[in-house]
Amino acid sequence: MAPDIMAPGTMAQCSEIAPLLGGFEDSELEPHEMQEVARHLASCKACEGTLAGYSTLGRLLRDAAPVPALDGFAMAVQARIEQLRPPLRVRLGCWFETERERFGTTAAMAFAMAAAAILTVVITSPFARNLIGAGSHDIRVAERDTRTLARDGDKLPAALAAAASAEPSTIISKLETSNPDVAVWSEPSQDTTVIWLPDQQP
Amino acid sequence: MNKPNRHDGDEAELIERAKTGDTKAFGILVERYQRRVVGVAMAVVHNQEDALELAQETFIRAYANIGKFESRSSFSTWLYRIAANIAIDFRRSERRHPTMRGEEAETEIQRLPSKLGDSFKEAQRSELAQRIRDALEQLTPEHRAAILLREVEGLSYDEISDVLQCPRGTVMSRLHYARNHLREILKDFAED
Repeated sequence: MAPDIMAPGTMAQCSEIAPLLGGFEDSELEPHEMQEVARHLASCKACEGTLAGYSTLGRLLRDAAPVPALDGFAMAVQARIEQLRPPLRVRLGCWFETERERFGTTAAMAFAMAAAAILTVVITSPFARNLIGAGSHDIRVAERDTRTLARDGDKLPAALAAAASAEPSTIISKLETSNPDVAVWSEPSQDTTVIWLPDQQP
Repeated sequence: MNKPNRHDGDEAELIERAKTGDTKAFGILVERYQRRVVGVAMAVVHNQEDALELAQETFIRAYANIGKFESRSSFSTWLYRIAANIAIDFRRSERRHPTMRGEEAETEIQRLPSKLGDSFKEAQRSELAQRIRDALEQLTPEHRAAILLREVEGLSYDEISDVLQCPRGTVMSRLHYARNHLREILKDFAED
C-alpha cells in the first residue's frame, strides 16, 4: 500500500475528498461527486495511493474470508422445514382447496341449502315473527273492533254483548242465531261452534 | 462474485409457491441464497460455526414468515435483514453469556499448512490471513459488519443500510473509518 503523502497545497482539498474515496471506489457517489473525485485524483498522488490501498484491502479481505462448507446445508434446512407445521394461512388454504375439489359440482346446491336453512332460522326466530306479525294486522283490528263493540253493548244482542265483555279478545265473525238472549258463533280456527247462554256468565 | 439476480422471473414464482407451502420451491431459494446469508451472519458474529447455525435459523424464520413478504421489495435484502437481526440478537446474548468455544482453535488448526504443502508461500498466506482476522477483531462489530458486507459480500450501500438498519450516511462513515483503520494496522505487512 502506498503511504499517504500529501502534496503541498493540496491538503485542504484532500481532506474534503478523503471521505469520498471509499464511495468512489465502490461507485456509490452521486455523478457530480464522482466527477469531482476523478478530477482531484488526476492531480493528487496521495489520494490516488489511498484509493489503491482501498482496492488492495478489499482484495485481501476477500482472499482471507473463510469459505463456509455448505455441503448438506440446504438439505438440513429443508428437513427442518418439513418438520414445521405449515402456517395457519397455508393450512386454511389447503383445506378450502380440498373442500372445493370434493364438492365442486354440488357447491351451488350446498350453498342453496345453506341459504334456505338460514332463511328458515331467521323466519322462525321471535324477531322474524314480530316482523311477520305485521301481516296479522287485520286480526288485531278485528279484536280491537270486537272490544269496541263490547263497549257499545246496546248495539249488540244482549248475550253477545255479555260474551264480548267477558272475553274482550274473542273474535266473533258471524252470529248464527237471531235470538237476542243466546249468542251462537263459529270459531273456524278451533273448528268449534260456541253457544253462549246468559247464565254461563261468570 | 456471482450476485444473485433478484429480478429473475422465476424468483417471484418460487416465492409465491413457497407462500402456498411448497417447501421444494423454498428449497431452491435456500440454495440460491445460502452462501450470502451465511456471509451476512459471518460478518456480524465473525465465527463460522455460529454463522452456519444462524443462517439455518434465518431460513426457518423466513419460511415461517414468507406470507408477510411483500413482492414489491427485494427478497434478498429481506432475507439478509432477517439474518442480520438474528446474528445481532445472538451477539448480544453472547455478550451477556460469554462461553468458551473451541471452534476458533479448530479453525486455526485447519488453516495451518499441511506437511505436503508446507511451502513458504502457503505459510505467508496463512500469516496474512491471521493478520487480517486480528485486524478485523480490533474493529467494533458495527464497523466490521459494514466492511465485510461491502468487501466480501458485495452489498450496495443501500442494502447495507437496510440490513444493518442505519442511515446510508452512517454506512459511508463506518466504511471510511474501517478502511482507514485496517490500512493502518496492515500497513507494515503490506510494506513487507
